[in-house]
Amino acid sequence: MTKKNKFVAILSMALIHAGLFSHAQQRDYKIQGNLDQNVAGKIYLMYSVEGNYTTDSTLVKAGAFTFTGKIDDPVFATLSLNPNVLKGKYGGIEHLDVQRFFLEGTVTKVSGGPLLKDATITGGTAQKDYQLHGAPIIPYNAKLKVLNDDVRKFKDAGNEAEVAKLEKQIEELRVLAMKNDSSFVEQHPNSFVAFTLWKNRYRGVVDPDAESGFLKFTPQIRATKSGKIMGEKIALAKKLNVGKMAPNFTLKDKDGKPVSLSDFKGKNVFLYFWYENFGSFPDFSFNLGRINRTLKDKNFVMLGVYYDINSDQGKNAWLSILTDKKMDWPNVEEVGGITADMTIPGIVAQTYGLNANTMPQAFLIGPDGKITARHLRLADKDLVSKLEALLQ
Amino acid sequence: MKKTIFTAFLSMLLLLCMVNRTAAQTFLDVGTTVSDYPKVTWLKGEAITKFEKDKIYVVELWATWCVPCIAAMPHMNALAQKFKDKGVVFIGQNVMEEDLEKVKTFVEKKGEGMSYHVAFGGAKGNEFEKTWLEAAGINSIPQTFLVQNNKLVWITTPYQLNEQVLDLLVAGKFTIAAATALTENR
Repeated sequence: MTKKNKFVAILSMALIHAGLFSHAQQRDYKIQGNLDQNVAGKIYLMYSVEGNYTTDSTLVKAGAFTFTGKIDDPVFATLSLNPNVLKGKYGGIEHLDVQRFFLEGTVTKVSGGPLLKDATITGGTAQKDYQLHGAPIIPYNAKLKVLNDDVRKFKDAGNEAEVAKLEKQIEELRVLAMKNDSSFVEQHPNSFVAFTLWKNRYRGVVDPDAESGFLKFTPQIRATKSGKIMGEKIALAKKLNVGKMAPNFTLKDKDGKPVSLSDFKGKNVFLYFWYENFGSFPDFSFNLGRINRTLKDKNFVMLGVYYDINSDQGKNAWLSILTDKKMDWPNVEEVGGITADMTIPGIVAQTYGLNANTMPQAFLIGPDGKITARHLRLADKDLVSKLEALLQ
Repeated sequence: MKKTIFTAFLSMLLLLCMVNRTAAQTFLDVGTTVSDYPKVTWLKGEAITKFEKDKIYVVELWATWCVPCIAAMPHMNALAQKFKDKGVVFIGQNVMEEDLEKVKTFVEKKGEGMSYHVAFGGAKGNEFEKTWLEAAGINSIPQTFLVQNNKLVWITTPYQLNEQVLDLLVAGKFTIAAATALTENR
């Protein structure tokens, strides 16, 4: 991963997934643009709510434009003026003059210019917070640009010593940006922007230790749509913590016969939820074989639960893999349980909090049905020795 | 009569050979016993044909095209020097390439930068590939095998192998848990 533009990345990525559902408690928003009189053309508004992307566009006449719509909680949005719409087979849009801001169910004013990136955007509390948070980062961004340009120059000249020195400085700036985020979060427990910054550190599996940070936010924040979603994730994390009973379920095996987790009570169960190609498939499948060979006679059973997240072949892909890779241990499927468009119809997926961001996952369950370990990495060559040490 | 018996014996022998060729794949897992070193072409240092019970072996996989493998060589070389009198044998095992001359040239140029045993695996399908790479599910390099007491004790990577881990091996106190705890604390 390159460090280039790391905290233009931090700043935007930290805020870009401020999402929520688009029903109940929707508020009207209005964006009133008054750019320089000479500005004309087309302007785009883009934002994403829980993985659902919205794009709107309108004409700019003598610097004036208007957007209206509805949203629940504030959302991190992008305005793009006169982007380059690419012609040809693949199309696409090249955004050249953009500004990011916090869109809220109120009136937002965009004024100044002539470039959009030089305009002033004022709106609700979230936009104020966003600017307050972002102000200290502006000089960091300026320094970062210089450092990145220099890194490129030295890399081209093959000067590794200088590159290493500069990358150290870039890392220091990144740490300063992170500190800025942390103190903003600490000092603004009633700010939706602060909550968004904090919550976006938990993009994958949430652990119960997220609760202490969550409770620092006000009841008002915790009652927002995203607040409630985070609360639910923390509740599930507690339910699936080490020491708790693993929730039972029943799914079908390759012959269509029902298999339940409780069928294996009395044995250590390595329960893994997987799909093809979450990483190196050969490494993953070979690792399952290692675990099977080494542990199968130690009061141990493996139970694989398959999802077809990136395969449109449903059960067929799964059946081929089972045969090809000689997965001669219990395997069941919940095909269709997690879909590509982020809906989770599967009951087992819902029970275990499985989605595209939290897959794959693996648990070790003791003979008493209680969870012995989680956060097990499926392609980790050392996994077999870790499991062996935990068997009861 | 003798000729018939002899022909029968010969055909039985041939039959046995054919059956053996389709035998199940053997696997190389942590805990597997290893006695013989696969047949390879030795380019530097004494040829090693057997693993000795009282020695510790570090088999470091590399190729001339593998940038991180080459980057790790100074580190491996330093460890090799430090531990050579403590019963630790370092082997730089070339894999996943077929041009022997290219490998030889590389090793010559490296000189003292590779002060340990160096071997060339061979063309596709060679013995090292079959009995160590395929058998251990190795699809990418760098990768490091650690052998002690004729057993494979760890499959790891160059930067997880440090002085403290080697000290554990030398002291007879090696476990994967202890070794990973050392690298996690860094």
